[in-house]
Amino acid sequence: MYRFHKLDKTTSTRCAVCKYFRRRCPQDCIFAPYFPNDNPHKFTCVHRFYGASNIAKMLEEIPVQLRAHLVESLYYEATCRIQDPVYGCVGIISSLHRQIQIAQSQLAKTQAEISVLDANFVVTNEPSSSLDESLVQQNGVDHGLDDPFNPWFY
Amino acid sequence: MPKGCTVVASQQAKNLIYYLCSFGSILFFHPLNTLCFPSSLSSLLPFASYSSICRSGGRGRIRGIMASSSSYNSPCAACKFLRRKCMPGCIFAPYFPPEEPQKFANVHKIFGASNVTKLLNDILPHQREDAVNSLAYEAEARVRDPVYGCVGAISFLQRQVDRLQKELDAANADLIRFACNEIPGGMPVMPHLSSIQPVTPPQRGTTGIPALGDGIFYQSPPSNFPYPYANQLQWSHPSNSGGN
Repeated sequence: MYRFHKLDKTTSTRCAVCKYFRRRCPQDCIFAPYFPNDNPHKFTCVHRFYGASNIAKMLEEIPVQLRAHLVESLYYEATCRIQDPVYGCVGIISSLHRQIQIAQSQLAKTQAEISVLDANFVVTNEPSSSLDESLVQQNGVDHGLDDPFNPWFY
Repeated sequence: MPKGCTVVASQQAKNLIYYLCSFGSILFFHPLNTLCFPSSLSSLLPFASYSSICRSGGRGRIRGIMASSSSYNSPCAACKFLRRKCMPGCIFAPYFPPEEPQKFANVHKIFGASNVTKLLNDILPHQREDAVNSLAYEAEARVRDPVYGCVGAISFLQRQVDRLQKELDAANADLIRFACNEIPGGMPVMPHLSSIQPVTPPQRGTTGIPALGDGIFYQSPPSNFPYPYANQLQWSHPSNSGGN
């Protein structure tokens, strides 16, 4: 009377890719480590622009330790392309270039201002007979006739 | 060694040099929203072949109008690559001229012709040229750096921005110190504090660059995204301490 549905072991362990394609997920599925079934959106995004076969080819061409980085970068680019279908992440690169341009010009301007102030500071603060002035009056004693290089005082 | 593998240290160095040369140049948008590259730097850019299309954007548009007639003379690069007849109204013909076969080859390798077709069909006709050029840019970046592609460039540029911001802050601090020394005993005249304003995601419709939603990266990869060159340099030169 009651129908007990057998738990399909493959259903619970299928990666997001195999779940998407409704197929059995083999033990050596190349996608499984990078597209877990708890994040189907990741594969949906990436698949939309690159296609599963291209992703598989890319994964096969690089070492295992770098594959996670590849998938993350593909996901990032796909997300940027979804948000901006015309420019994708190239728009971000362009924006960063503009920021660098602005920063470089601001830095050059600020450094020019500093060098101008530095030059003015040096000109207006040249020491003038400071040694003579310090020797004239010291502790109430008039050293005006003293030889600064051969003081007689104690 | 698998094809396209970038595990060799010299290849990684080449990648870094490529980025330093190519992405150190100025990339700007033409006022008509056409992706352009400065002609003087085109020799340094990896996508120099595309600059001729951008500089002759008008010709590109005219080429689009004449696509049907040009296809009788020679098929577009896409149809040539796919070994099929280039029909009048071929969606690829205006953007993949026969004299630039590598452009379509890269795009096809990374994205696939059918995905590109779908993408172009979803975009307004006047934006398709820019879309194709940006896809070509991403595809070439991915061919040169199979692991990180454009994201490597983004993280590199973001670090440049951070470094410049620090230098600017230090320079502004020096400027304030000088201003204080010049006016002793009084309130210094605060110099104009020029600094990079953080680029907040603009709303769609203002500058043409749409804002990204929550959880989506805008300026740089997420905080847990490893900076590619740091890892690559550490991997290839274990004695190095960082990627900068």
